[in-house]
Amino acid sequence: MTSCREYEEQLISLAVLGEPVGAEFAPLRAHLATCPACRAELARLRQVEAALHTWPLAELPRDLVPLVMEQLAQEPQQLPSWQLLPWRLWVPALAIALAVGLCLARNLVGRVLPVGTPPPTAVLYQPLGAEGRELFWAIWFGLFFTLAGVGISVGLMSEGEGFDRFTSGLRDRWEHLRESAHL
Amino acid sequence: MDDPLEPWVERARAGDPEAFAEIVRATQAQLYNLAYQIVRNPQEAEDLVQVAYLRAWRALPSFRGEARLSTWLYRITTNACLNRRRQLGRVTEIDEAVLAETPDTGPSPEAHTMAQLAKTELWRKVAELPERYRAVLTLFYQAQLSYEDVAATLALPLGTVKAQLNRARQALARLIQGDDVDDELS
Repeated sequence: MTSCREYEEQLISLAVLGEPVGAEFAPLRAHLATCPACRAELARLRQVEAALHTWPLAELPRDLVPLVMEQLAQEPQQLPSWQLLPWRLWVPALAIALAVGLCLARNLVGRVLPVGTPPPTAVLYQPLGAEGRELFWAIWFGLFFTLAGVGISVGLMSEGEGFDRFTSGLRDRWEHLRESAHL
Repeated sequence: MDDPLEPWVERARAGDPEAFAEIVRATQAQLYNLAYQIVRNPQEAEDLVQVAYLRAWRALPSFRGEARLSTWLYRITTNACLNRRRQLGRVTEIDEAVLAETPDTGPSPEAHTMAQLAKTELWRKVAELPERYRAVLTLFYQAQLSYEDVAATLALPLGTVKAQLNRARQALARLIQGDDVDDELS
């Protein structure tokens, strides 16, 4: 004999969904016809469902907007946590860092592989001489630093009212990062 | 995803407090209700909602928009409430004073029909359930979130949410009958 407990889940589904017509509910319907306890349980579950669907919200005691805004006003300027600097600054800054890195790497490689070492395999081009290479790198780094400098200047100008604003922006960003770390 | 708060979200993310005020205006009733249903204390609920908004403001830049903003706010509020309850120790018992705070929806008990009285009684019975069940019921029935959104809000598996809802429904049915449900839900 099937016990009432086996129909618990279906009983809830029946109460929640209304009148499911699937064949899987046929045994439950047959059981309900002979079980007053399950019929009573179904009635209670339907009562619960109806009451929950009309469950009113607790009344908001007062408008919270002014309170929240007051607290927000005491917060440091909201900035994306990943954004230490605006892109107008970090792109040229990254370019300078890259240029310095390349410069150091170049010097390092120059020491490990002395200038003039022939390539290990046949080449299809005529390599520059030592002087030509120095000139090439000088032009390359000069161009790099100049463009990065122009980028930073443009970035600073478009940031707003000069150096004070820039430093205060940096300070705000630092505070924001510290705040995020606390969270 | 069609989010009615969408026009305000981008501006608020960019740091516009006025846009955030609009978000607070649109969501405060639901968030307060959620907090109230969990903590069952009006003043504490109000404080926790403010804490939740402050956290949301700070974390807004990291909001990726994968869920609706309201769902994300529900999550922050639920976490704030449950964390506060954990700090205070598990408080699931409900006293009469708290039950008396449950909002009445009509002018007088006499004016209610029998069915309405039964509903009011059941809404009060919800307060006798443990807070995690109250949270699930509130999010599903009052905030009208889908099972999936409730699961996302509470960071629970979908099956757990469905099981908790079913257990809460059964417990309420038992409470109507006058049975004790403490063992069942603990």
